[in-house]
Amino acid sequence: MLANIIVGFILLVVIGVASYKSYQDMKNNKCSCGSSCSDKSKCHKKDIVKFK
Amino acid sequence: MKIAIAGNPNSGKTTLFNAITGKTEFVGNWPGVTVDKKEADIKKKYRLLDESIRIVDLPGAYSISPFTGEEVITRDYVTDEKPDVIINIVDGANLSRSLFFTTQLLELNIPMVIALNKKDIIERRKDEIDMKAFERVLKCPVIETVATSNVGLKELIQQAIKVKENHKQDKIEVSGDSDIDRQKVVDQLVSQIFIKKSDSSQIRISDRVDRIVAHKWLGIPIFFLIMWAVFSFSINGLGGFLSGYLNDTFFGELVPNFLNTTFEAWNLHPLLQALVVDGVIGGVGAVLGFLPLIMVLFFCLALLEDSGYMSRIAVVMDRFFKKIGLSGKSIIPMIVGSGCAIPGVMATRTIEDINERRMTTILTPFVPCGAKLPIITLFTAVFFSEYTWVGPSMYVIAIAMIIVGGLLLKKIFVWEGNTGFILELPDYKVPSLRHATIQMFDKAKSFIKKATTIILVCNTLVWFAQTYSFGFQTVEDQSLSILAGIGGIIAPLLIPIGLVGWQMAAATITGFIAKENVVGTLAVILLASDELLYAVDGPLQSLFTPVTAFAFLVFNLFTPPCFAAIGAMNAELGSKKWLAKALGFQLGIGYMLALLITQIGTLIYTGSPAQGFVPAIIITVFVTGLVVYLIKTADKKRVT
Amino acid sequence: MSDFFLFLGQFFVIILTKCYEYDNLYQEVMIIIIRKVVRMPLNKAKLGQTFQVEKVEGKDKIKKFLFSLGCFEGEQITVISKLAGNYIVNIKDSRYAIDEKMAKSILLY
Repeated sequence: MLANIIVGFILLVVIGVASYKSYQDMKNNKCSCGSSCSDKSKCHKKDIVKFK
Repeated sequence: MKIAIAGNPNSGKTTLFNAITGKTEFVGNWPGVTVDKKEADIKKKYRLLDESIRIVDLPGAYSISPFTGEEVITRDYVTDEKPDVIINIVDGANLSRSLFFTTQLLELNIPMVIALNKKDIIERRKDEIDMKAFERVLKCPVIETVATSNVGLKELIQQAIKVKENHKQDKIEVSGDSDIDRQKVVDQLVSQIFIKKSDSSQIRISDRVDRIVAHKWLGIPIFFLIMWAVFSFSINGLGGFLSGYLNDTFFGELVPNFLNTTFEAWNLHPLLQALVVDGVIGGVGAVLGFLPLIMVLFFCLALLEDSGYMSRIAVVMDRFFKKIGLSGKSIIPMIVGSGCAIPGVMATRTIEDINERRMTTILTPFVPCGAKLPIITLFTAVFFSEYTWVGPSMYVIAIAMIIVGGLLLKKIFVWEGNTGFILELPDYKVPSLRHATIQMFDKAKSFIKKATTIILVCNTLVWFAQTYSFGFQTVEDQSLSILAGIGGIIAPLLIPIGLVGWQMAAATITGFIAKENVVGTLAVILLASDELLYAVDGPLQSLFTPVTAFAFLVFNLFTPPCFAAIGAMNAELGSKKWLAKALGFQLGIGYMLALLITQIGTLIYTGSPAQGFVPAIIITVFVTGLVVYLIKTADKKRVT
Repeated sequence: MSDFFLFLGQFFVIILTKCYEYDNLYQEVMIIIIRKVVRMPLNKAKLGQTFQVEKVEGKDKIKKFLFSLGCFEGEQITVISKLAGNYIVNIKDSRYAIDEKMAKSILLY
């Protein structure tokens, strides 16, 4: 029983942190693509000026 | 305090930025790498007092009158946002051209410091610059730097801070307002400070190499050979080997076995055990196993991009791209996209013509990105292990469809593309191993972060959704679970293309969050450890035939990319209308190709039609009719 | 028509040098005279030679862009080679690849 609680708790913490980080990334519009953008820069530039 | 870095494309701005902030922004040896402004705080060791200094890296510009999209960003920033200090990086390899922009920047009356970069090239060419005259004539401090080896950076920052405090800029005179007058002033300045010993019009080694590499007929095979070498080394060679070990042994046997035995010894609740071993480890492990492969791929791509070869590829491909209405410049986003589609799509900003840019944005995701590699590797291992041509064929199909897709787009949409093609060819340089290694580790960090955040969350949700039914009861039969219910909604649509069952629908849906999720989701659903997943007679065989497996690979290749990439597309296309068209087009190509492969392939392979044959025919007829209609309407618009 | 003159001029020079072995100075003078009479677009220029830009045609935006690179009236431009349908040129201290269309709009002498 104790094992259940410990493992379950650890799992909850891990998943909780993961969810929180994912949510934050989505909110800041940061790339969660992880493949080529560094997670320091924003991926979507919302204010691109359209020029002729 | 904000310091902006401005200068010609490829002059070393981002390299300088990385050196003084400790960041690892993307650097490449061709014009048009930085398409976005980037900000960061200066490293502690370059600070003077305790004041925090913010550095802004701007895209390269040849002048303050913008020609391409990124030049607009630079222009807007220096004129509207008024940084405290400007560091103007003057490219020592082309002093005269750089100074044109310099004189324009000086007129903004913002405190400025000049960094004379690439000093090593000046010395190599045996040219000389009179530094004192330089400072006197431009009325602003000039520091010699070699950004790639951190030379001169400390003095540069110190000068920058000093210049802000003592700002009383004397403007240098530019009589008359025209560009010609400005150029005359620049020529005069250059004659006063520059003693040129080298003759740049002489044939250099770079030119001799170009004659072979960008040759009319040799160029393409050489390009294919180089790309094949890069991907082969990553997928079949070192990267694949290490990944294979991670997937088969480490995540396949060692970890699950260890955890299972330990959990059983602790008498852990079976559901909890399943969640950890099958859900978390199974899903995330399936993805994490690809880390070596991704690292090797990005290392090789970084070397390639640093060498200066990219511009040459554009020269070689220009001829062919012109046939579909694009120019050679469009190949660069596609090559960048073979790593990740997002910077690839953003790289389209260097294309001046808006229609060409849109078209390139739509076609770039067709190139298999790093995230799709796990899918390709998995399916090749299970279904096509004797046919080693299947993996590389994905890239060939991608190129073929880019051409076909490009022609289709040209026919369906009315536009007048027609800019000329002009691209700077930087000197070749020996790619920096240090830089490639830094990039590789940077990608590795991002990949691990992605795997342990969004993919972990997704796999957990998937596990819950397939273990429980809508009534929150555990189910033995997976087809009664929540996931089956959700997947079941779009599953019928996937039948004509050979994907049978809610499992595939679920994998496709999670694939939009991140393409790697397809592998993770399948691993969780099939309750398969990595070893089992990759086995030739493993559970995947129950969902696919070789034909439909191939169709699935193709489907994945061309359907719209992950949400993050779609977001980048949205930013570049600029309008929701175009985004809808783009997504519709991509979805259409992916769906129809998979449909054709499944239906025709199954007929040939097994001699009898596949499931959903009749609906497939109806859909094909409908789609063909739609395409013909669109072309006809476009033709009519073109005539009028 | 100007193509014809160009050909004539070059032919003339070659014949002269072959027959009379004139020294470089005379050759150069002849070439300069011929060029002043006959201006040609970049796509007709001889490879490996340096020219002066006489005029740049085209849309304003492109002209301005080429200007900022150093390609405008009076400046020197060297045609290095022709690769895969594109012309490799040297302006100031950098190499650029230009396609046929753009090459046609840069007039040299």
